[in-house]
Amino acid sequence: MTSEKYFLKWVKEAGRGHIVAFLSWGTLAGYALMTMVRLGLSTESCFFCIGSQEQLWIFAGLGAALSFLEFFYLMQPKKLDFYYGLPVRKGTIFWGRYVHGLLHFVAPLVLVMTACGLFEANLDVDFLPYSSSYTGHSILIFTAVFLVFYHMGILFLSVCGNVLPAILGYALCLNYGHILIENVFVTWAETNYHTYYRIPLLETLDIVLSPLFLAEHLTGQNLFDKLAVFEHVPSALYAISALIWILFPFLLFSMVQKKRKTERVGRMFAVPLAERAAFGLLSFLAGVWSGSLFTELSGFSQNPMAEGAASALVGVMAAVTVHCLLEWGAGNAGGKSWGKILRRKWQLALECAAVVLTGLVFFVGASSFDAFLPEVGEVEEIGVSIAGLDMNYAGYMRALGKGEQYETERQLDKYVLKEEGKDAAFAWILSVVSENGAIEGGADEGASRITRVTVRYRMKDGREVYRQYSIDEEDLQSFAFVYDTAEYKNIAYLAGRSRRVSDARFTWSDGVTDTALKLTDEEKEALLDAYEKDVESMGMEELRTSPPIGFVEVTSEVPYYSNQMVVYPFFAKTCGLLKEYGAEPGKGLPDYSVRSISVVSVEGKGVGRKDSKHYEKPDEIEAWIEDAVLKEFDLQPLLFPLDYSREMKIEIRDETTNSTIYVDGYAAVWASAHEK
Amino acid sequence: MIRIHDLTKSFDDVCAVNHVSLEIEDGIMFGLLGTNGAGKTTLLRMLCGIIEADFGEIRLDGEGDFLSPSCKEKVFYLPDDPYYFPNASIQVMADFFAKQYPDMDAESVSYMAESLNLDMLQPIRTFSKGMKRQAFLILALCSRTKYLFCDEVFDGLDPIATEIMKNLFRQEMKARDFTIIVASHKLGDLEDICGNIAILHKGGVVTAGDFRKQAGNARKFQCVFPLEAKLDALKECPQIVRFHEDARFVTLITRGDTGEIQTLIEEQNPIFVGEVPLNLEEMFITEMEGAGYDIRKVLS
Repeated sequence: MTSEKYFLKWVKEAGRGHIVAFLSWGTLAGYALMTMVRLGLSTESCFFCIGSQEQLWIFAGLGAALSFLEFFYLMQPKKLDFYYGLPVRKGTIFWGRYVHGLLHFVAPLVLVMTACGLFEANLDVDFLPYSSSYTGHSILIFTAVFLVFYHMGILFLSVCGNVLPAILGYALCLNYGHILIENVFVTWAETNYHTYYRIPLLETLDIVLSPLFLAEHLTGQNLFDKLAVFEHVPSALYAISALIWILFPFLLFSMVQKKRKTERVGRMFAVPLAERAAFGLLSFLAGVWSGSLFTELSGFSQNPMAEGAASALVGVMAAVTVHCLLEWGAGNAGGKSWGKILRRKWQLALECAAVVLTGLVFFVGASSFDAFLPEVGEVEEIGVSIAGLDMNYAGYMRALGKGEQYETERQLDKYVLKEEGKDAAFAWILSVVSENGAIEGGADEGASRITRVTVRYRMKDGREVYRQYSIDEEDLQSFAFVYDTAEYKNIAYLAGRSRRVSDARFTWSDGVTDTALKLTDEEKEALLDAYEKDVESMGMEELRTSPPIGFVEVTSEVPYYSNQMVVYPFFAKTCGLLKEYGAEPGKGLPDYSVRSISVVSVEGKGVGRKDSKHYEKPDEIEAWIEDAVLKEFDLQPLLFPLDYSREMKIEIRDETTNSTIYVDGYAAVWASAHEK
Repeated sequence: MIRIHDLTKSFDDVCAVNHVSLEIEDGIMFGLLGTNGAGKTTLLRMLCGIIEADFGEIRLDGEGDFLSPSCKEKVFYLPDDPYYFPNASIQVMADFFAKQYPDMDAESVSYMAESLNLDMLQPIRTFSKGMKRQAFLILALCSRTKYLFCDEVFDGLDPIATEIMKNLFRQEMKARDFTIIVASHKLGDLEDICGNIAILHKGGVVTAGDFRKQAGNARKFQCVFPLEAKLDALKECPQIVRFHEDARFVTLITRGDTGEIQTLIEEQNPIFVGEVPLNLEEMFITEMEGAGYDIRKVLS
C-alpha cells in the first residue's frame, strides 16, 4: 500500500463514529439557516461572518471542541495500547486525525460562507460589490481563528496526560496573557507610576497575548458600521500575532507527539518538559499576581520601599506555595517522597527571581516613567483633557473615577493640538511637571490638587505616550495660556462648524423652549461670523463669570454638518444678532411662568441621604428661581461650579403652547448660603 | 526470531524492566512468568512498540526498526483488557483488523466464532469477560501474524474454553510458523503448553529456557522414616534443593550426584523410599532455588 493510501485510510479511520462530522456540519448548517433568516429580516446590522459575535464564538468553540474530539484518544490508555499495537506509526494516527478535523471544518465553512454570501448578495445592494472580498476574507480570517483554538487544544492534549489538566491548561492559556497584563502589569503600573494613565504597549500586548481578544480584533467585533465591516482587513500586527498563535503550537505539538510518553497517560503531563514549563509559568503568575494584589491592597502610600519589599515577599511565598502544590498534585510527593516536592530547586529559585525582578522593574522604573517629558521636536501632536473643563458635572465625576476612560478619551480625541496650541500646551505641561511637584505629590494627593489633566503625546514615530498629572488652582488658571489660543478655542467652539449654511436650519434654545430662526443665507453667515469673533475675543477667565444662556442649534441634512453653538452672555455680537433675528437671548428661567420647584438635597457626593422639598408659593419660587441654573448649561464644573448637592425639577407653564414643561437644574453655589 | 538485548525501562524511580536479554526462537510458545509488577506487561508493550525502551534493543527477524508498519504487521498484541470500538461486534472488529493485517483470514473468524457459540453481529460490550477474551483470541489467531503477544491470555476463561483455546494455539503452531509469547502470573496456565519460560522478578529475568531440559538432573524422592531416625545430616547435604518434613514423611528434591544422598537415606533405615517425577512448578522451584533465589518471594 502506498503511503498516501495508507495515510488516507487513517484519515478515514479518524471519522469512526462521525461525531466530529455531525458536530461541525450540523453546527455550521444550523448557523447558516439562522443567519439567512436574520439576513432576510435585516441586512443592516446582521453579518454572516466578519463582524458577527456569534460566528466568532461558534468558530472558537468548534476549534476547541474538534481538537478535543479528535485527540481525546491521547488520554485513553486502552485505546492508545490498541492503536499503537497496530501496524501503524503513531504519527500516522496523529496526523490522520489532524487532517480529518481540519477537513471537517474547512469543507462546511467554505460551503456555508459561499451560500451566505450568495444569499446576502441577492438581498443587499450595498453588499454586492463586497460579496467576493468579504466572503473570501471571512473564510481566511475564520479559518485562522479556528486554527488558533484547534492548535491550542491539540497542544494541550498532546502535552497533558489527563483530560482535566488539559482543559484547565487550555482555559488558563486563553486568559494567561490577559491576567498577566491586566491584573499584574497594569496594577503595578497604576500603583508605582504616579503619572500613569494608559500604556498602549500593554494594551496591545493584552490583545495579542489573549487568543479571544485577538480573535475579536481579527474578526472586526469592534466595528458597527456596515461598510466598515464589509471592508474590514485585520491589521498586520494582529495578522502576524494570529500566525504566531497558529504556528507556535503547531511546531510544539509536531515535536511533542513524537516524544510523548504513552506510559505517562493518566498523569498531569505526558511530557516532562511541559510539566516543567507549566509549573514555571503557573508559579510565576501566582507570584506576580499575589504581589500585585498585595500592592493594590496596601496602596503603596506610606513607605514604598518597605511595601515593595513586602510585596516581593508575598509574591515569592505565593510562587513557592503554588510550585509545591503543583508538585504535590503531579504525584511527586506523599508517602515517603515528600522531599520530591523540592526536587526542582533551581527552577523554583528562578521562578522566585523572576517574580522579584518583574516587580523590581516597575518599582525601579517609576521615577523615569514619571519624569518622562518628550522633546518638542519629537511630538507630532498633543491631546489634552482636564477633568471638569468643557464637560458637565456627571462627566467630571466620571473622569475623576478610577479606571474611567470614556470621558477623558473623548476629550483627548477632541482637543488635539498641532500648531500654536501644541507649543502652549507643551510649555504649560512643563510648568505643571517642573514647578508644582505633580509627580511627587501623586495623582490624588494634597488638598490643593483640584483636578487631573491627562496628556497624550502622539510622537512623530507613531507612538502614543500618555501621562496624567494632578493640578492645583494655580495650574488651572495658567491653563488659560492654552485655552485662549485660537487652535484650542476653534476645537472647543467652532469644530464641525459648516459654512454650507444654505440648507442648514438654525434654532435658538434657551434650555426651556426652542425658537426656529428664519434666516437668509446672508444672515446665517453673519451670525456665524459674529460667533467666531466672540469666541476669538473671549478668555478662559470669563467662563468663571456666568453659565451659558443658550445654544444655537445648526441642523443639516448633510451628515456631520450639524452643530451646537454655546452662547454666553458676554458673546455680545452673537446676542445682538440673535435679538435682531427674533430670538430672546436674555430670557432666563425667571422670565417663565414657574408653577413649582422640587429641590432634592443630597448629603455627601451622591451616596448620602436625600431630602426632597416641594415649593409652590410665589415667594419661595421667586427665591429659588433666581439662583437656578439649568443642567444643560452646566458645562464648566471647575470654572463655574454649581451646588451639585441640590438638584431641582422645575415645572414651567408655557403660555404660548398651553403646556407644562419640566426642566432640571442645579442651585448656583451662592444659593446654598440661604437655606429656604 | 525475537532478540531482546539489554532492554531497560524505568517509570520515574521504578525500574520496570531491568537489562533484560532474551532470545525467542520461532515456532514456540514462550511464557513470561512473574508476579504483579514483575515487568511482564511492560516487556510485552515494549515488544509491540506501545512504549519505548530507555535502553537496549529489540530485533524482530533481524529488523532493527521493529516499529515500522511492515515489521509490526507480523505482530498481534492482545492485552489483558483489549479495546474495542463502542457498539462494535466481532464482525466490525474483524473488518477493522482485516484493513490492518493483510493476511487476516476473515472466513476463519466466522468459523471459529461459530465453533465457540459467539454471535458475530452481537455487540462485544454485551459479552461476558470470558466471551470477550475468546472473541479476541479468535481475532488474534485469524490475523495470521507471525507473532502473537498475549497478556494474561487465559484469565477469565472457564476450564473448557481454556482447553479449546490451548488446542487452537497448538493447531495454529502446527499449521504454520507461529510464535506466541504469553505473559502470566499463573504457572498452571503455562505448564502444559509452554516449553520455554522466562521468570521475571522486579524487572529482571531470574531465569529462562526449557525447564524440562534444565531440570533433567533433578530428582524427587518420597521417604517414610522411623521415629528414631536422625535427619540433620540429610538436611544439610548440599545436593538437596528442597527438604520437606511432615512427621515421618519426608519429600526431597535433589540435583547433581544423588549417590551420597541415597547412602544417607539408607543409613536411617527408611520404611519406604520411592522416586516420583517432578511437575513444572517443582522444576521452577528447583531451578530458581538452585540459582540462589528464594522462590517464595518470587512467586508469592
